[in-house]
Amino acid sequence: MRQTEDGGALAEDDELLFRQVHPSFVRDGRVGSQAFRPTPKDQKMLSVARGSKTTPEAAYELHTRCKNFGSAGTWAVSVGECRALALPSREDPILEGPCPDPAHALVDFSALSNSKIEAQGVRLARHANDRDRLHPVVPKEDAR
Amino acid sequence: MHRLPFATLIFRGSRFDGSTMPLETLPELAAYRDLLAAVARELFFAENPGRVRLPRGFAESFRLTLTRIDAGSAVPLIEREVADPSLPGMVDWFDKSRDEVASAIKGVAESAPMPAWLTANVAARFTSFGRTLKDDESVMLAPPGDRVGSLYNRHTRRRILLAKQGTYEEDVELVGVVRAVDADEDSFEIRLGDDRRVPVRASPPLLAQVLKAFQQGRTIRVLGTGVHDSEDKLLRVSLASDVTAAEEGDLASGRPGCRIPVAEQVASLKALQNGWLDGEGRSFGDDQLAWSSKLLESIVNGLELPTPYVYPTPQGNVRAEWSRPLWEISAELSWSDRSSEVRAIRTDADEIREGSFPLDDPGQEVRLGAFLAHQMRGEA
Repeated sequence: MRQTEDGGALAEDDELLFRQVHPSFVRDGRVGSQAFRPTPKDQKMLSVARGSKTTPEAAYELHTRCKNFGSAGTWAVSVGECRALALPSREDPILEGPCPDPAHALVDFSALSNSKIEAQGVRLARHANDRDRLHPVVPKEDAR
Repeated sequence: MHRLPFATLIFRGSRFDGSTMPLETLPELAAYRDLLAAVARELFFAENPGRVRLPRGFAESFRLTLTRIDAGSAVPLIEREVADPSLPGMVDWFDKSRDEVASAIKGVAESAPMPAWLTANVAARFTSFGRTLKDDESVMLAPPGDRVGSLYNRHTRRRILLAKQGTYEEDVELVGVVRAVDADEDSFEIRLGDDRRVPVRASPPLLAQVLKAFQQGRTIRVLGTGVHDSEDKLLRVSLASDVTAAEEGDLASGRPGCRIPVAEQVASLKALQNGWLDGEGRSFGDDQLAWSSKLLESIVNGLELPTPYVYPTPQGNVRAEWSRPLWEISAELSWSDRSSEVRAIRTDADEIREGSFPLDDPGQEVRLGAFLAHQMRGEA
């Protein structure tokens, strides 16, 4: 476990970072690697929710009910897994607007080339698939 | 001591062509004998409810010998040794056992109820009998001198074991990467090519080899007794009999990959409208999907690759992904310039293998398929 850093950097290696995965990025229960890398509009920052501030279920509900976005469920990587891939993570709470999200955080891909972004996204997705879906928890056979 | 014809077992399948029995199938004969002996005991106690012991010499009186192997597949002729065949009288529990077993096996094919003598103790004997049979193999249990009888195969064996135990055991051979080792529990977990994780129990000497492979990240091959459920899902390996380093070119077990056919996965992308990804994401045209589906299917089927997981990309490409131990492999198909980019990314090290294929050029589809197949086999 690492010591706390400044600038809102997340330092607890064991803390989980929840990621909502679009239904198109889930096949037969497996998450595709694109779910764990930023899209062009994300400016190389991957949105996640801190496991110390929310739950897989609450993160899913916020994403689908309040923000009205599509999600096949909540998957997760850890702060330590991101750090091992040279991906710093930091808190980024959203306190205003129609859908406040105090648990919001970012995984920072900004130091990486596009090719490297893909590779690290693939590796994060492997961690998430190893952990399997955290919410809703159903037999993998049903998660098609 | 006299010998009397007792049973004809007709082994069928490619391994038994030429009227030969491979040595590894010989335990079937001893398993057959043990099964009949167990059934005979159950029959005796059922007919003699007041008895708590078998008659003296009961077990020793049942001796079977293999006389010869006749032609027509492999047909071992089984004879029984008897002290004096002219002695009249008592019920022969072993002859009755032979007939009951043949009848029960025939009944399984007809979905008849399981007989009362099929206790847990007898079911354990069925675990051994038929264990070495492969999918295309069977053994017919025929009366002595006959060539027609009850057909016993893996399917029959599974139905009997599932009815009595809820699971069945079969020999398995797995190739994969070790993901965890628990020396206290004498067990480890192997990750197969389709990402399944299977717990394996192993003796301490084998576990030492496993631990070494784990530390070095090497792919291993495990032989052992697999425990399956009623849907043929491998639950665990109850005991590993051998662990070796995988050989070059070995594919990790679990080749099928995604359970949804490629064509069905690709066709599902038709439903995506512009902006499908929370405002981002382009839709897919019929021509593009037909081209992508045909290309992927021809490569996957032609080279017998695992079925990939197919996803859309926000940029409007079709992306196929495969997982194998320590590697993630992808092929992105671009309709706009008829090309494909393939990447194999090692998950535990900073290693990437890439290939670009302009698919309008002659021979590029073959090159794309060959490159993918190489990555799938772990070849550089």
